[in-house]
Amino acid sequence: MTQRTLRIEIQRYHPEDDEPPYWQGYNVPCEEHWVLLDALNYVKDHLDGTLSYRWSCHMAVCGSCGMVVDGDPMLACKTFVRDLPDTVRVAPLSNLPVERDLIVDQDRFMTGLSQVSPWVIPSEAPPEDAETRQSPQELARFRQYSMCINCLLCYAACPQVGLNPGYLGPAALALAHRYNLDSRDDGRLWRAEVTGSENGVWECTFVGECSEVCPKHVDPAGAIQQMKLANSLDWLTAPLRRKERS
Amino acid sequence: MRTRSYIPRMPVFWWIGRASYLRYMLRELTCVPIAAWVIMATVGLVGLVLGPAAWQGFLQAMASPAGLAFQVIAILAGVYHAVTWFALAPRTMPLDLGGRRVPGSWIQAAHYILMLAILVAVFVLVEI
Amino acid sequence: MRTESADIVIVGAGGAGLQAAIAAAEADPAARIALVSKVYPMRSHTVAAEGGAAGVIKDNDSLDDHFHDTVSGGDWLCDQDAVDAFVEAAPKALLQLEHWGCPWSREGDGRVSVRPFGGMKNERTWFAADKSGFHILHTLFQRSLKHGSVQRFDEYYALDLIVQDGECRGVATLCLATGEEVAFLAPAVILCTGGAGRMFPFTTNGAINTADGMAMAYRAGVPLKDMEFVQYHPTGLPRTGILITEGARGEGGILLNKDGYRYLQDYALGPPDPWPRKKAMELGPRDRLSQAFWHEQRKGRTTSTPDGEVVHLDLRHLGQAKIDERLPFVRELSRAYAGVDPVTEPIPVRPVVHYTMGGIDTDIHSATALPGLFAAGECACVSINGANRLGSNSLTELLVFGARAGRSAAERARSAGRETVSVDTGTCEAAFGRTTRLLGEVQGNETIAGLRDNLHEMMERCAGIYRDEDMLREACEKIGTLRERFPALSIQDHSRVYNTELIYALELGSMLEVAQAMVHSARARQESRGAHQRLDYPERDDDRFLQHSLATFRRGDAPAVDYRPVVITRYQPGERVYGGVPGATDTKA
Repeated sequence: MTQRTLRIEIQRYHPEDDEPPYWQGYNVPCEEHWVLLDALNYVKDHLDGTLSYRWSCHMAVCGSCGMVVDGDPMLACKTFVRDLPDTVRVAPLSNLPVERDLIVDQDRFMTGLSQVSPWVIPSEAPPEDAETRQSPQELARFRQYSMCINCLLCYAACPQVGLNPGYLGPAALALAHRYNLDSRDDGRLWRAEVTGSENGVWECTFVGECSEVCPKHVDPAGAIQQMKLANSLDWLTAPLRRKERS
Repeated sequence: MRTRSYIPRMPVFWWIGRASYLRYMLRELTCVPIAAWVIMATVGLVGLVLGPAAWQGFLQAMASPAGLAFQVIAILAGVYHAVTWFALAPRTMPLDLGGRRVPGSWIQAAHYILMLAILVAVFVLVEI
Repeated sequence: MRTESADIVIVGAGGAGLQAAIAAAEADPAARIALVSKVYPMRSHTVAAEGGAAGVIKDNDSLDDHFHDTVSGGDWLCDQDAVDAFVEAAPKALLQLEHWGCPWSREGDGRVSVRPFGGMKNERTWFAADKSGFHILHTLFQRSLKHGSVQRFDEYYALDLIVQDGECRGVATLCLATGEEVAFLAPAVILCTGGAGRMFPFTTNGAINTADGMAMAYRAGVPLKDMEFVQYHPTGLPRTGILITEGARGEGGILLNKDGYRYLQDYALGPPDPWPRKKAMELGPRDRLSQAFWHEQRKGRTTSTPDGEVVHLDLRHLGQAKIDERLPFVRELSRAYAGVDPVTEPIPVRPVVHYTMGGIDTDIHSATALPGLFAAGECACVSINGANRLGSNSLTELLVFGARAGRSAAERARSAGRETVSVDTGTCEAAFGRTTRLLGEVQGNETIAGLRDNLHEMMERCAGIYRDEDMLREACEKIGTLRERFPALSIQDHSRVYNTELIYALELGSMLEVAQAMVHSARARQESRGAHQRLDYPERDDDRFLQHSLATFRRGDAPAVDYRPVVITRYQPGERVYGGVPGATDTKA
């Protein structure tokens, strides 16, 4: 098995020391088929047990191992060592507070998630003992937006997340869109109170980087623009709805 | 944020150093020459209203080297803005017809066709 | 040390934990529910499950069929009253998930689609493309956000149960973000902490599946049931162990040895055609398929690769359109991690450890012998899976027994009243004892990686698909030695904030304890049944072993292994018959 020494420079941070983050380098003998996560595990097991990072599934479905590799947000379990240069810099996800080493504070995302009401809001009760019918075409409409693994690479890529601490962010908004498009849901207007607010879709200026880095091709940028369109149309047709209600 | 988290600061020039961010800023900056062009067109309109002398003065300014350079920049900005906008349009307005997704390229093409149609219409109107 | 009071504490926020939380919140909206997890809920390993969840909905199917498939699939070690309750509750649980927004794949008429799965007579596996676990988990998590009475404590590692006066009164935890010790006090605790695959070197399991909940219950005196039964999933990628779903075989995938031969026909699963055919060939039960691989390897008929011996899963005949529609994730995983596009090449696969049939002994209401303690999901053993789990029963199990645990806990909390549970300070502090030594000054010479590698090597060799007395005796000795070496473990990280090295050490401790229960139970079971196969006892022995093993923790000593008869109601043990031609059935009583 061919081996190659990869020099990994990792951004370290110890909140209990009064020092800012600093770079620490490790020389890691890598197997050909390794992913970056394997290299980090090697560091932790054999070189420096104090390195802290999140990981679990090793198959790009749990979303734990997001980090920035030479400036690009990536999943460590899907970044192949053979695609990396001999020296590589690994930092925690950008735009989010760093708690320790490669571990960032995700609270902002978790809060945002709750705020967009990510559950089915039906207009009438579903059938008692049967499924709500949904055609394959109806499923296809929202399926893409349901694939988000909450890895937060999009938050690291989005400059608006960095510039505006209140911005809900790509993944939370894309999830709102997923439910808006679900044929079983009628909650779009309800969610619009949050998604159409000043920290919602209108903070997005379609930089589009979120969709570029998304490992699951969710296209949160597209989702947000579609919500802007829907939000605008809803605003225009609001008088008709008021007329209906009265 | 529980213990002493490190809060990274966005540098003012956050958009330098990444090609995609630079392209984004360029796209956003096209609004400046375009806005300036709108102001210029308004000035021209005012000139028309004020009379032949003002109008000639306006046309001369437009024909000057600076005026020409400005118009070239404005056109380039407008084209770049349109091209990037049209490229993004399919993601903003996905269309389903007869249960099938309309290809993004069709939506993009439709934008170009519409733009061309408007250009032709304006040209014809002007010429008449 | 900080104290949090609640009515119900749930440890683990995967499928079972989230379902338990929602069910408890619905059963008693006034109940304060603390949902504690060492990772954010979306990271729970439910997320990696692919194939689907079984529940009877089609007209050609029946609860009886599901019952018979499950009991015979489990080699009659399943408690049949529990299986009856399970198959009956299954369709409703899956429908409820559909109402909550789970994107189940559909037929043309809008009804939920079902696919064939291993060991099942009829199609009853509901699926969401090939990311069923992902969609189930995210649906449950997002739905749980609706319930304000469920308060989440993300990234809190549970250290030990707090037990006083013979009752479980809470859980001692460590807040990862601050290093603070937090005691959760409640009259009802539910463990939904998942399986133990990480004690093996090659597993589909994620980093977090380290038997923590099993170990906590075990240390508190609750027996671990049927631990010797470990499922090897027949089709994992070599080296990484990444799961390639049984759904691939459900859609028609076939397994070939190095001669391009569908070898399963040599193992009482044939004839090979017609194909696909339920309960035959590649749709046989997982234990049989993994065992067939072991035999093929012994015969030298597996393919040698730099990543070890493999067989090949061939999906080419399905065509790109079907693969992209039904198995897109399989295609993605295969290309990324095996460098193979299943549209054009067969995927190299081998059996890898996947599921722990055994676990915390519970009854059919998810209650353990310790009052106030409940358990559900893979960490529990009811038992509905017996000696071998059928694919797609586990995801349904999370929903059915997670809900039962939630309701049972709510009932217990309601009868306990709303006052805060009281616990002596001493009892509380003792529960935090596990971290003291590791964070202290003692400088032992053992490392996490060293002990873990030794554990892996031993489990792989001595407690694999086929076992015998020599291997198991060696395993029992070795695990004893490893446990003796554990106190000499020292770690480099003595910080408080996100000290993941400390967590790894604690997880290793859990795995060593539970591995000891596993190998002792395996050695004591002198028969072959389901996933526990012994070269020295190749036959099933119903006279002696139609019983659940119960391993009880004994401080400073090996566990005691006792037995309890299996609950047999209407399906007497018979022969497990697979293969044959359409219309053949197993022996029924």
